[in-house]
Amino acid sequence: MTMLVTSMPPHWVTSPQPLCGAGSCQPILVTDLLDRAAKVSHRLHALSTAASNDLNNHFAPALKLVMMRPLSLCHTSSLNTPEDKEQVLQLSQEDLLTMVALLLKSWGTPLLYLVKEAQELPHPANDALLWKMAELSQQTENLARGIDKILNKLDPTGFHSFSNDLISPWSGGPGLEMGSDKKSHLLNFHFLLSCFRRDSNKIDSFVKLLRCRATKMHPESC
Amino acid sequence: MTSVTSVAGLYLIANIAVLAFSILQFRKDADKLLNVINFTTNIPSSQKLPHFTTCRSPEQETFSCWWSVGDYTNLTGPGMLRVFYKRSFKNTGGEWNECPDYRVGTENECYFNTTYTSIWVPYNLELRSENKDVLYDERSFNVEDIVIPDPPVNLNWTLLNTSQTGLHYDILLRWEAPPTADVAKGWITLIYEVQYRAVNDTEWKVMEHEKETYLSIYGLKTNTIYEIRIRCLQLNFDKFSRFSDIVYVYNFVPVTKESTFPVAFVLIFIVVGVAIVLMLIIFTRQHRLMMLLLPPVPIPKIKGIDPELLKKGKLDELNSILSNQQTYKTEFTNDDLWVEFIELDIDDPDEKLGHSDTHRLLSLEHLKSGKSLSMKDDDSGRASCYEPEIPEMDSLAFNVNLMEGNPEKACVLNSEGTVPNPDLSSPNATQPKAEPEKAKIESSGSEENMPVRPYPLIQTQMSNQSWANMDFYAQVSDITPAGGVLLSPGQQCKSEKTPEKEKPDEAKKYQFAMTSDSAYTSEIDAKKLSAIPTTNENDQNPEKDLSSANCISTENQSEESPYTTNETTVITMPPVSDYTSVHMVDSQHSLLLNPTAVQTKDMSMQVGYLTPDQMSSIMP
Repeated sequence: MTMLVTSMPPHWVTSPQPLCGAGSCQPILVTDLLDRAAKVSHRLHALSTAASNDLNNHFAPALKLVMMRPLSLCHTSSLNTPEDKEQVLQLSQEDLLTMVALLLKSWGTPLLYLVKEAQELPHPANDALLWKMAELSQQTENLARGIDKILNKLDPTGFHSFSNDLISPWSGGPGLEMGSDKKSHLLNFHFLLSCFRRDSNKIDSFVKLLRCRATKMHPESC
Repeated sequence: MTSVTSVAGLYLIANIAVLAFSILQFRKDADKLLNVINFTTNIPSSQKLPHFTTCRSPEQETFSCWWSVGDYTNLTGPGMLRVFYKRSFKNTGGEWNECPDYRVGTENECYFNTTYTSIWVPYNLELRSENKDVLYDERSFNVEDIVIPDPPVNLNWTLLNTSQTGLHYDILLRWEAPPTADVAKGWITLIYEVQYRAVNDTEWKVMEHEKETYLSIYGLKTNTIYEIRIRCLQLNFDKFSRFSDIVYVYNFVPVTKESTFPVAFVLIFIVVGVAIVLMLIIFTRQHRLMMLLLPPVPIPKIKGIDPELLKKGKLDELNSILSNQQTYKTEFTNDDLWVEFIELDIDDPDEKLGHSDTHRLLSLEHLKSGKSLSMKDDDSGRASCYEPEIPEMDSLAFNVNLMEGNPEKACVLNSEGTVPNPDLSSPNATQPKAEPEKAKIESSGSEENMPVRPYPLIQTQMSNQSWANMDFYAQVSDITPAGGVLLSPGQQCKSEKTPEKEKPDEAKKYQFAMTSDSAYTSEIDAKKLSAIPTTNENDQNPEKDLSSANCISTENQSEESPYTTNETTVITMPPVSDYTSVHMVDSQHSLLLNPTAVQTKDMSMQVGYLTPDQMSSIMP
């Protein structure tokens, strides 16, 4: 299942940091890390939006209605994430980061499934979808690692650490494939992608909020 | 039987009831289905149903939905159409609620404030009739997908700079994010699109999307009104806001073109005037002015060379000229050929020659040489023509001597030495003997005296007819590249390594022979040979050759012959058997041999050289 996971660590983990020796170099700031995280989350959202557009543009308008499955059925809806701006603003930095991390981890497996599905998807734009899915998967893992790093920086004691039980399990996948026709494939794909798109927007908003919160001395960066 | 019929009747009634009920239900559903079908298949019904027109959230904190009654105008008015919504939370079904706020001020709007707005949560909206029976329209969306921000506000611009020509200028445009959008906290990220155009243009120029709230616009034209508008967009979404208010930009720069006109005219006028003046000067041939304004370009000139010669392209002559120059001085001095020559310093100021360069050169040389040779030169151990007594002689004296062991060496007699016997004095000889003359004997050893010295002396001497005082002669054996005439005694042949000797038996002849080591002839040589007076005949050629046999070795002869053959047509020698007196030097620097072959007994005086004793015997 790690076939698409690159062995290379994310760019920001191995970012050109000078070899610290005897405290002669400066550690990287959280603000910089959050800045990079915001860039990655932005890319995630942009890619998922583009992939959704690719998918929808080739469908007949009538079919679009049928495909409107309520997104409340997404597997990540069980996560207790804020749904309001006020709720979001009330959360602490670490809580927000924890939620982001949980979200990202919940999408590890489903994204891999999406990649696999995209290869055989009966859709004219499946090539574009394929590389987008692959990129999504990779960037999600990158971001997950980066958020972990930020969490470690902000909360070294691990007070806010979460157990992996909280990660939303995803039951879909192999069960759906068996005996499914082309239509179901498409529908499942579309639904899953829509779920991810919504979650990527959530993640992006959270990270950007965190970034702006962290850079209080540079409000113009927001 | 009746029980059976009753049972059957009951059964029938039940069925009918069921049937009726189902039919009713069917009708209900059919109505629903009809509505749905009408909705989904877009059957162009005669009347347009009420429907949602748009749902929009300006800042992702609230949203509103608007609907339209369509053709059902009877449904206008509050409460006629109702909106119900359902939020699906966390896998729970959610419940239907009616619109929390039917905006009374605006028509057909349902407004959801922050309480009722949830992000990332699917909404379902329905447009129903008043009695909730008829569903006209429904919508489902997430709030974050319907964000359409408000337009930016507070557009203003400042002038950055104006171009030097005053035709263009740059401005810095500033604006602010819409106040409703909470960009400061990062809740929404906006990007902006600036458009501008000149007022009378039809198309807007669209700039690149800008994340910042300022933008520089370059290259606007002055004295043109521009209008600028901005709209914004939530990042990663494709729904733009409305356009902002238009701001007008105008930069007035007074046109200063008039000031440049006179300058241009003045410049043109000046240039034309100067051109006219120059033309006038050139065409009216005011030499003085021309010299002043347009000085002539100096033409390269080599002293001693007639430019005409260059044009003719005669290489040999050119070589001979060049050999006269200083550049060949050293070469000449390096020659083994020791030449000694006598200079005669004629005090006659008559200069009958023209004003040619060569004449000037010769005269100069003459003067120069005169000064330098006033003293006796050292002999340097060579047999020299120079004798101490000779300079005091007030008569022409010359001496020819040859270096021992070098048959080629001969005294270079200037042509004065070869001047014909004074006794032979031509009618032109006007120079009385008594005229004191100063003879200079020059040792060829002095290198600085080597060059062209004999040449000018020849000139002057010839012109002054001083040959009259000479009553001896010598045979010219060679012409040096420098133009000097080599006198050689009869026995002074290359083949014979005899020192100075006299060979009275030798045919005395003035001969012009070329030495082998001089690769070219000097001009005077050429002239001498070529410009023999027409009275001369070609017979001299063979005689010349004959006489050359006496003293001139074969090599001389051989060299001479090709030489002479070149000049065969031109060379004409007077019919003298053994010698010819040089009559004069004509204007072309050639020796005019006296056609009258005067042979006197005094010819026993040999060509070659005379010892001082002989000279003293000759001269009174």
